[in-house]
Amino acid sequence: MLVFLLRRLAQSVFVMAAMMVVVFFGVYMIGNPVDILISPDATPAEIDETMARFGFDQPVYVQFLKFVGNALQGDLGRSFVHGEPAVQLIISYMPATLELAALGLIFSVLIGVPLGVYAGYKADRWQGRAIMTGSIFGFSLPNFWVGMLLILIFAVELQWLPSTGRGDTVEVLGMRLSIFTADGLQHMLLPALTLALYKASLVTRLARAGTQEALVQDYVKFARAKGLSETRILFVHVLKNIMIPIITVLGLELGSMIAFAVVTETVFAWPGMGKLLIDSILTLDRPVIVSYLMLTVIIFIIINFAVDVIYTLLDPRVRVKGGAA
Amino acid sequence: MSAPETAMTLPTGDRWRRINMAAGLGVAASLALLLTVEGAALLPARIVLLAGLIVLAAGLLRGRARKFFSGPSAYVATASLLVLAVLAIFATEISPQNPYDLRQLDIMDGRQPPGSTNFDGSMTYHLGTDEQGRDILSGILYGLRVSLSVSIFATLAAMAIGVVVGIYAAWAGGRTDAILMRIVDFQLSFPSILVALMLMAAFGRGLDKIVIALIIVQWAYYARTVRGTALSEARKDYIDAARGLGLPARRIVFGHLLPNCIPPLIVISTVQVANTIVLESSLSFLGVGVPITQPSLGLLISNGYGYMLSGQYWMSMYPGVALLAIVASINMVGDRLRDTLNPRLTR
Repeated sequence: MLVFLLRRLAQSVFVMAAMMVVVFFGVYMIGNPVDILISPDATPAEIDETMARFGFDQPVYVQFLKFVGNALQGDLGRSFVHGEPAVQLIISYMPATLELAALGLIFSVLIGVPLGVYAGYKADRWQGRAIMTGSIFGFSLPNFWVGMLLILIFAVELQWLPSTGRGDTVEVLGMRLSIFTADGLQHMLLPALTLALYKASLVTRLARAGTQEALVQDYVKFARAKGLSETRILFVHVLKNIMIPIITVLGLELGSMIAFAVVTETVFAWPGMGKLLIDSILTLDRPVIVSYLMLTVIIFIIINFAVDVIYTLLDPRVRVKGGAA
Repeated sequence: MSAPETAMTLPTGDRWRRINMAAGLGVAASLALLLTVEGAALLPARIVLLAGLIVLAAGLLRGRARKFFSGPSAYVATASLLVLAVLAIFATEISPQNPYDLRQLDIMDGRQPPGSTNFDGSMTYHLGTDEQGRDILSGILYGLRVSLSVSIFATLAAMAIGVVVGIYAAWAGGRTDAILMRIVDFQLSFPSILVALMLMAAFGRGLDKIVIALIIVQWAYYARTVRGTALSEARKDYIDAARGLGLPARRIVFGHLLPNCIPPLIVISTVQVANTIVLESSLSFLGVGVPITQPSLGLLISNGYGYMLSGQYWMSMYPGVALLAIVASINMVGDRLRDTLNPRLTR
């Protein structure tokens, strides 16, 4: 286990280093930020002065070494637009995205697991087929389109729920969260549902496949022989056995949910990291783009790591194999 | 190596395989031509494209058509896919207006609801108009073409690169394999939308740029899949037999290994076209995708989005319906294909 963890850690460090190179040079290619920073009628002297102030006049490799040196100290530069340190800026936007992704994840399990188990139970009947066809639509619907449709129905036509913004927030553990206020939760409902739909159909498919496989196993026959109700068999015995792949995939998908939040946040004007990223791309705010990418890499590494650990905890067979290796 | 010797070792489906490959190349070439030439109005290229797609589909379903069409959803999905493909390919001929020809637009007809007519009654806007007075129906047909051609071309190109890299990794083995697969893992650990977003931020808008971004996002996925297939195929007897015949490595790889690694990719690539369409439309919706002069469905939706809250739903609603229709029918066909072509899943 320890060897495994250490190896993963070494891999993560390597990935971070590689990402730093890719991100820096990738973002370096994006336009000239000085054009944004100073007015078009600035004199050449003023332009040079600004270039020197931000260090743009130095060779690329000097800029890169400076960037690495600062990054190791947790400093990824100041936002050109907001004037704040970029990392702090993103971290201040982060809770909004995280709570949205978390609620989305909860929704996708709550929708997907029961549907999938039922579809697996009725695999050859019309109910199962209908759910599977429905899940294709869940896959097919682009994120932004779902969001638009929800806004059209619930915000424009029915006027039940708000369409944009975060609503009231409360301070919990130093983070401003909407999820604990009634108004905030109302604002979250539509974006979270939008974010959840794709994952929900993924979960439905996984749960269905797992249920189909589990239903022919001996322990289900035994449970039936004991005279347990079908509901109990499905949602206690079968469910326990199919949750492992679902948790794995969902864990991996948490990262992609944060990434997909870019689209959802733009549709609902939700002030999270994703919206910040899009705005920064449009204003060529380099430090923010770089910091966003680096933070996303860290989040991804942590998620992958956590999934591996949870996986070994849930499935003893993996632990035995991992221990032997 | 003389021809008769190899002719014996080749499986019977070889002729079809060649036809399919030719059709695939035809599709790719005509798409490349249509994407690069401004206006995309070359009729012969479009006919080649349609014929190539039909041959590919026929080759795929040869002998399996009954199994494929086993339910109503297969008929519906295939029919709608066919209709949408024909609409997209012949958009210039079918659509009532060229929405990007400024002479045909009248700003006075802007934001008309569905069913209204223009000022002299010569034209009915069945799906309404946008803020520039463009017919939404025509816009959808042109947008459908952009969405489809960008996605199909990007998928084919990514598949080609992935196949080459994957087979090379499997064949070379050792350190080459390890390094290539680390690169693949590295890329796959990031969600495609994020990578594509960054690339488009670096490249700027443009049809060629979004195609390149979509290829970069996807190749690794194919490389990994092909490598797995190639590794298991390379251990099979026919490769040993080819080695035993003393065939050069190049010939074994391209003549024997490669053709057997492609079939598992077909199902993946069908579904992947749909995913690419969604990805492209999301990028265009965010404003970093196709240029304004050649809007895809995503950009049309984005353009109309601002008017939706004021109840002028048609500008983004109908392009959205078209997007949903094309993506859903591709996914449903892909789903049927998977059931048809993958014998392990049959019950």
